[in-house]
Amino acid sequence: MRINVVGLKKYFGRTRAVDDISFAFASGQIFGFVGPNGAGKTTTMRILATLDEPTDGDAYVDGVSVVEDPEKARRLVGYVPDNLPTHRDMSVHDYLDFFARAYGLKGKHRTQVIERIEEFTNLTGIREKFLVALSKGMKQRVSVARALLHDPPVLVMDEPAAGLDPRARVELRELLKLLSWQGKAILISSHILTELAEICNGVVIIEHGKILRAGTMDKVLAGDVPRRTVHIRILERHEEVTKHLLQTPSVEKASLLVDNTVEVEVNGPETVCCELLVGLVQGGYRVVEFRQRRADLEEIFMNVTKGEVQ
Amino acid sequence: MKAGLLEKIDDALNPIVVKELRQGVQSRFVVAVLLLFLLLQLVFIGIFLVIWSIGGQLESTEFQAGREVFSVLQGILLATCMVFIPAYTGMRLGAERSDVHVDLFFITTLRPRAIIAGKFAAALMLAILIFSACMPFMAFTYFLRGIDLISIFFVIGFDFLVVTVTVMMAIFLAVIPANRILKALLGMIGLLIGLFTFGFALSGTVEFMMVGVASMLESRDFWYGCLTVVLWSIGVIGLMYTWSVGLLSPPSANRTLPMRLWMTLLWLASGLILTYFSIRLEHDILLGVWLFSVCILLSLCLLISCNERERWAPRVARTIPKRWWLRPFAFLFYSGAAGGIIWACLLLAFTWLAYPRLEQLIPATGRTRGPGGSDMLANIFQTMAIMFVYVYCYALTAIFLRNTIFRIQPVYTWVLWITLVALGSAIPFLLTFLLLQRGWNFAIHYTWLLTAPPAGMAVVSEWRMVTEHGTVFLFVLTWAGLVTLLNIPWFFKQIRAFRPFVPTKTQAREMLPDILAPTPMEATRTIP
Repeated sequence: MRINVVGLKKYFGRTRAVDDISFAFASGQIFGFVGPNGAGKTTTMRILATLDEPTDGDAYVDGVSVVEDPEKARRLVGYVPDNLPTHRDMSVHDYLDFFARAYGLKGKHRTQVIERIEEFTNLTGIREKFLVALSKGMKQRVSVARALLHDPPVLVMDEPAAGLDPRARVELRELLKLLSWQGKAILISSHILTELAEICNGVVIIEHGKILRAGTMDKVLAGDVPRRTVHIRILERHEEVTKHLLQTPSVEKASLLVDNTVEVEVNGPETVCCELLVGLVQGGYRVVEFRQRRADLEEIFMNVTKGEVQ
Repeated sequence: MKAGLLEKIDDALNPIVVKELRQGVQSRFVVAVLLLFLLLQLVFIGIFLVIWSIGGQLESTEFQAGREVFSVLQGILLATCMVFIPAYTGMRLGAERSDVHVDLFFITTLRPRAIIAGKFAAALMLAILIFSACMPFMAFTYFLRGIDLISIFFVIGFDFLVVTVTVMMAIFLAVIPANRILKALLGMIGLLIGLFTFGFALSGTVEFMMVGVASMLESRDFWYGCLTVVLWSIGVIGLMYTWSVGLLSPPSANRTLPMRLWMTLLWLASGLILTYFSIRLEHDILLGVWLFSVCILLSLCLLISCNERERWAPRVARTIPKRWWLRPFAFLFYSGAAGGIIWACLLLAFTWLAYPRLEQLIPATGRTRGPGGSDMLANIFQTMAIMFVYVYCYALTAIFLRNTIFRIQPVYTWVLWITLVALGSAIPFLLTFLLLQRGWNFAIHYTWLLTAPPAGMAVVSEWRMVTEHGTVFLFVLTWAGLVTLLNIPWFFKQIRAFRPFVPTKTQAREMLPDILAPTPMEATRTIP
């Protein structure tokens, strides 16, 4: 099972909500979809869920085109929107039963599926509660349960963690890990980047409808950033090495920390760090530790996006 | 065996019906209304009986209170069903429409037609529940004398038909995409129509109760009248249903296909049936109703069509017939501005061609004559046809201006249309008033006002201005011809673009860079 997004475009009048984006992910992977508000995340997700039609390009779910064969494609996708269920006068069980019927599940099979999903998403205890009386975390669980009813191999989740308290967020994270372990391909958008980095195999950073970064989490985090931070620990001559480093052209800033580690900020690609290490060794400094501090997703996000709204 | 059958019935039910009924049963509002309704019925009957008992009227042989009590109960029933059920259904659907719920329905196997049908069926079941609760009270009025059982059941049936139409209208108003202010306005419009229909239904049934339906059963006019009302109701329900389905469908869908198919079927079936009724009754009134309704509906369809798409996205394009000889028919029925305009014009042209032949089928004695011995049917048809031509002229003028000067999106063409009609109607009136003032005379200066649809229609409908009819026809037909010529490239562009979708990007998936290597799936298990 593989999800391919190929040259996807969606224009609303003159606004280019999605502008020629391509990426792919596969079963058992959680893929983060990150971008500022109005970047085109929801539009892309709605296209994947067959709710909107792209202006150009296509997306394939296991080879099924969402443009050419939306009826078949939507059976493969479970969609969790950012809005949560709020039907009046309706219990959790009735809500799930309605959607199970709507997905064409019949008879005893429907009952069994609902019971298993309720158990899996930990809703059994609140199945008779009305939707309007649920907390946001519970509603989110109901929303995920609804998306799982027809056992889709792909889950598209738009801001599922928005507004959740820490406990509900942890529970959701565990649920996503479990689903990924079960072989679901998950595309998830979120503004809580630290959490995304923990659970995602890959990430797409998008702004103005264009992809800024895409790939595995390691690749994105290790990717080209304008400024790098390196921690160097030398056995002796700490003051001297700091002065030496400051004279190096690529070094922007060097400061001696309390544990006698020198924190260096360098400009340029990773090769600059290699050259720095070579220079220190050739200068006769006894290097005990040379460590490049990896930027986290939030740092990468802040570096690559401008935060402008279309 | 029994459980299996029940299970099959349960599975076959529209999920929307199940959902709505479950919500209805659990709704405190529904239960409260039902209890209040029953209480009102009981209280009214109780009050009547106590008053008559105290007055000693119940023992009198002259006592005939059934009709009065029935009228009151009918008023309560209609008020409940025509206010509560449409409001309940409309508000629930309106809320779901403005939220993400409808989107969630679409990613299941549910289709817009099933959603609308489900809402309609659930509302009718609620109506049946209230009617069932009311029937014993209404049947009881038979014992109070003054009304026969046939009249009771006939009126209840008629009331149910009226409620059915009102519910469908509420659903139609609820699916119109609108903000809160517009929704409130639509609600007010719905309420006004409901009140009007309520008054019409009550006053209509009084006549039946006065005369007694049993005495009318032998009359051919009665049955033809009843059948016309039933057919008209089915037609209106179908029309609002197809419009609702179109409005609820996502923009990428072939939204107007069901509406145009239904409208064509309605045009043909109602034309044949009402002509047959007119021949049997030897009177042209029903034919006149048909001509009048057809012209209004086609004008409305034409106005809707000019706001439609001009290109077909892949989802619709993939359903365009590949056989070249089927494509012209599909072009007329598929969502699309040019196709819709041509379709409306063709139906009106067929009506125009059929009208003289249909009129000849009715004996001369059965033709309604207007003032001065004019042919009323011809008069109605000409006036309404002129209205259609005006709508056409303004629509094509708006499209031409939209494409050449204003460059607005097709979906807003109606705004331009309204502006043009307002300007075309108001400016000539103001000018003639300013220039001629007291010397102004419609019969003489009507040519100044030819761009105003009401003035053109007034000239054509006026039997004393027969000689002036030609001027109006010449003006609107010249205008229609001119705007058609100006828009010919626009029409042809759409006809050329109406081609089935040929997938060209299927190889693209192979070309995509491998961003992530697929995870081994040995440990995979699926739920449930």
